[in-house]
Amino acid sequence: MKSLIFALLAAPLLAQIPAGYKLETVPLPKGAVTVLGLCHKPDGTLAVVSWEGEVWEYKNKAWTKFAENLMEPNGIHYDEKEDSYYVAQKPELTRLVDHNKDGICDRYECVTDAFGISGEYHEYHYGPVVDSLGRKYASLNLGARGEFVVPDGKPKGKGGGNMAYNAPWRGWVYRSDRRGHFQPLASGFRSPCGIGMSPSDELFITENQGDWVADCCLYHVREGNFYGHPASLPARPDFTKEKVLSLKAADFDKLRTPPAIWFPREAIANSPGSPVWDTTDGKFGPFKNQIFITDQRQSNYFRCGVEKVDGDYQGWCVDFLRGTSSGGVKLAFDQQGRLWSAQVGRGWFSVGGKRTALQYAEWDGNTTPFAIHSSQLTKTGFEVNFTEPLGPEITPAVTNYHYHYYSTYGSPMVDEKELKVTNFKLSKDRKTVTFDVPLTAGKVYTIKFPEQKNAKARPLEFDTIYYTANKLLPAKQARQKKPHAIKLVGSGWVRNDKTRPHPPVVAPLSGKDCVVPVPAKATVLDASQWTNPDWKFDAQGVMPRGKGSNATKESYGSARIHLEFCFDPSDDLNWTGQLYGNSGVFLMSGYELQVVNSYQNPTFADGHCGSIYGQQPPRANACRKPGKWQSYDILYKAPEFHDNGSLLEPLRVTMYHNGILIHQDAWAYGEVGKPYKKHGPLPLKIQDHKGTGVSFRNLWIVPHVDYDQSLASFLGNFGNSPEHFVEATNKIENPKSQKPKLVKITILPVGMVRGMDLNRDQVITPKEFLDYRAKQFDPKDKNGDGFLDAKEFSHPKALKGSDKNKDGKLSREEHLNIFRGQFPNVDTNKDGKITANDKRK
Amino acid sequence: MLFGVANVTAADLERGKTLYSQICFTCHGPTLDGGIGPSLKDQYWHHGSSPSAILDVIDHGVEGSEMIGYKDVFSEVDRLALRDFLLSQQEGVREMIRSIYPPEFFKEKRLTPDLFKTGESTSQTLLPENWIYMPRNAVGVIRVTAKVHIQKPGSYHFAIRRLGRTAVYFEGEEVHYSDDSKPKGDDFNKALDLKPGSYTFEILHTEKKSHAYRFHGTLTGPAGTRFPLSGRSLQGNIPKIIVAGPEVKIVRKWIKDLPPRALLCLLPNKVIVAYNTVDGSILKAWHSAEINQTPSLPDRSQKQSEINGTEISESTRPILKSSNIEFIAYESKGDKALIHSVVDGKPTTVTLVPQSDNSFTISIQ
Repeated sequence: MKSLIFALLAAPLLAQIPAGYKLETVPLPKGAVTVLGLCHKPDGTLAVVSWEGEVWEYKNKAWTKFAENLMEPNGIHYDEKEDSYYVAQKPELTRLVDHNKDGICDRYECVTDAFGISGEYHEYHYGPVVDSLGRKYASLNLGARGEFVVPDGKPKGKGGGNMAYNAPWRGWVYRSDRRGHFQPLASGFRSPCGIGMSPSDELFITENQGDWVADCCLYHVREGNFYGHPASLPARPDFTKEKVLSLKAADFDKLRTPPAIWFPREAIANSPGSPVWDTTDGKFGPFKNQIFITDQRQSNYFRCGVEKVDGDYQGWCVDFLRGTSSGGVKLAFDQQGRLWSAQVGRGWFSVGGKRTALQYAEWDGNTTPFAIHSSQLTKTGFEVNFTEPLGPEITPAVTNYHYHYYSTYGSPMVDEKELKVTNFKLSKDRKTVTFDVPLTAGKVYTIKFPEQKNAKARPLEFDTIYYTANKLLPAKQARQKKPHAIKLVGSGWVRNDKTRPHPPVVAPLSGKDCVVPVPAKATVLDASQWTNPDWKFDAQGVMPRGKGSNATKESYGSARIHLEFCFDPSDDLNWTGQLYGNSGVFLMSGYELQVVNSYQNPTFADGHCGSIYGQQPPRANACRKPGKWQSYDILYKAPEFHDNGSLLEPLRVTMYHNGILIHQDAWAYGEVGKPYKKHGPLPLKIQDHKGTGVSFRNLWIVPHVDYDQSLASFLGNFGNSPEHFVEATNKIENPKSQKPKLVKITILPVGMVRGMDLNRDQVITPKEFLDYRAKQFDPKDKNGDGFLDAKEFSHPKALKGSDKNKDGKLSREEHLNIFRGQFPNVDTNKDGKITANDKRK
Repeated sequence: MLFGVANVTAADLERGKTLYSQICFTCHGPTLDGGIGPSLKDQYWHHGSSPSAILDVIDHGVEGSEMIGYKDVFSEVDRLALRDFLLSQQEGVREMIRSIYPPEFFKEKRLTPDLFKTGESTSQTLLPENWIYMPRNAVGVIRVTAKVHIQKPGSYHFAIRRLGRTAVYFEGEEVHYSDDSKPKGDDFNKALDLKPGSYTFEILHTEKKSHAYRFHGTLTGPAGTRFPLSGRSLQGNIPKIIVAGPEVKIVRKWIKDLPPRALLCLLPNKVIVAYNTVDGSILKAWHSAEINQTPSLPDRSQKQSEINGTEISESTRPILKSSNIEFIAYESKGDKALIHSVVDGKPTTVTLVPQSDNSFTISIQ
């Protein structure tokens, strides 16, 4: 063979780096270091976590080991305020603290381990990322194998089987803001290995194609929403495993929120990593505020952008750079505006080829690459923007397709169609094109500019942009609402959002079970304690809502409150929604816990009975019927403020409604309708509100409680406290030690086997056999005389044979004797039981 | 010819073995499985797996690593003996070279090595990990030439998943042929009766252009011998064993039959105590122990890490004896492992301290 040139070290295959950019490799520490995540400290230190369980710091081109012996940490965040790292290692979210500041972690603190882990290897834990309030968010993978899977009868497909729910909160995204706190946010994830927080505090998750996930994609996460993989649903208060299995794909389809952007498989991504936002203010080139993601298989960086259409995010993606050494999983910008990537080729094939790598992409500061910049949906087609003026020939080619939603691994691109491009227009600066194509909601549009050149005849870096059109622009754009004074950080929602999912309806505890004795330290809030004379207690101690709000004489800080209320029943259709029994419990005069009838009286989610009004819906709707007394049991912690007036710690509340836990250490984002403003102890207030009547009784308050100390015992109050946490945090389920499959009995019809083999061991004993037959007697005995006559028993020969006393009918005993005789015929191998080994001759 | 090198004698191998067990084993392990240095038995050769490449590393070392050059230490005869010993320990596929040819010439033809003599390949790549893989969206016919080192004598055969056309030539003789156009089961498969030694083979293969290369094959031999040929990414892993040090090491790894939240406290006296953070109990303990993370390092960590050591009997017992335990943190302080929890609302610390050379003591504060 001539000219045998070995590319000895797998050179990047088909590398494509945009003009003006370069990709640099940073040597890793020696030994077993497979990089899974990275972050930067403000002092310029880079920290990486490794699959092998270590944290390394890189400063002045030297590596030092900061922490070790973790279990597969899959992401790292540096908390500047606390000068410590947070890592999502497999069994817990961990804070790594270096107390003596010698550069080596000396204390490994468990921040939360309130989620389940069965030991199945695929139960990865990714994150954390933080919101502007410092709260940590991380995501939990389902197991690759296990008992609870949700197949819908479809074939498995090529990439693998159904992922399994082996322990609580798998397939969820959660939030934690301090030690011990775990707040599940959203469900329906399969392998949510990319997690990112946008500069405007909105959480995004990337997924890999698999069962129930048609293709790789980016989700905008909203608290309470379900994103498509049904195995995670049993953790919701309104689902059980049985209920999930009884539902069909069409039911889940109605429940789910589609991805904001699909990443066409192979073209853009196969295993996308965490999204980051270009906040470098131009240091990384002309893609300000765009989303960058790296892909493990493709070994590329790609760009995305989202726009809100009819209230929901959707958008586009386009390739940016190809040829990283290994497969990218996490990205992070440093202070100089360089985009770093943690890369790994383990586990899944990565085009880059190397086992692992640490690289960064850097822009030279002045060369503009000729690229598709972004795209927007118009009413009749698309607008596509370019970084540079286009050359004379422009021929966009547009196709669209959609995906299946089913349990099969991945979906093909369905119904791919070429579309006719009309009404083509080019802007004066030749950098923006608009055109019309037939638009259909729910389709992905592939917009390609083949052989496109710029004005200097340079070719386009990547010629195709993909737009996910979940929705089309509404005929009339909704009026832009003024942003509200309070941002529901990290929740994805705005105040009073009509599309926010309603809390699930659950049965309240019985009135008897909700009785709480008045503690010795409590102040009973009787008539003497209130200031508004229009609110009067009657002889039974009931205080109907009066005119104007009613405040206590005393002021209170952190406290424990009990109160009972009752809505006047009303069937007047003019008094529904927020007008049916509206009042509110104003903690410290400003933080409202809503009181409104939510029993068969729909309203927006954050206006439900028990909501922190306008902010946080209750976990469940446990409302009783109007006319019945109901109870609130509230433990809250007063907000704390810095001397300069800024917020130090928000108001926290844990609360039961009719004995059901509806808030677990939830945050108030501010007073009702207002941001936080420094204050000390203030009176408790009850609100007056237009609408049908509501009355109160049995009000008492325990002042000066230590919230953190009391929380655990408070959560024990009604025995139903976070039940999902308890169930399985330490259950060991070895995937390999699954029960052996039972071989099925074939000699009898399936229905008969089911009726007889009640313990499901695929062994039918003579007793099981006869018990089944004996049970058939009564249904057959139509006239109920205790005998089966020829009309009731339609086998004359058998009847005659067993009718010992010749009265022409069968007694119970005679009826059973027929079957006693049958058993040996079915037990063909004569071992005294019917099993799979008995076969018809 | 043995293992691809001419004129190797048993005495040479013995000499190589002696040298290995005097010097090399300290880093590469007594059974070549690796330790501080990489394994010398697995399929991943950082610097090439050919006899000359291996000799080159022995001679000149690896810059920036602990591997020094032995050119000035041992005579040439010794270095060759060492190399030949290493080669004699090899098993499986080595030196896999993948060439890609333009597809036009091969249309509708039965793939034979002769066909390839006339064409010129567009690329040749030494596959560093001996797995056949293809560049993304590659178009072409591939020819892979490789060596296979056999240790166990017996009957071998190539099992190739049928997709497109595939021919396998073993020592120049066709031993497998499959073709999409034929009915299933019409594949030609010849069993090979092999003695220990080194053999050459080549795989000729073409399939329709696809987003992912889908060649799948193995060389299967006696008693579970199985050399995969395809389909994996490069993941040559560096072995990792966690051994006791002067300070306590508190380790979280997934170990068979232990809950995933167990803390493994590796005390300086080589005692490992597995502590359950959830219920505050000792799960198990071992002495003369270490944690071998290596089995968990390939792939996606599908396999557990292992504890090597002698189990200390009757060490399983509850420590905190409460159902209200909140796990807070762990830290190592010199030779002590400190595990902090809140038990019934009270901060509680379990301290594990080494005792003699095979035991430990527990105190609770």
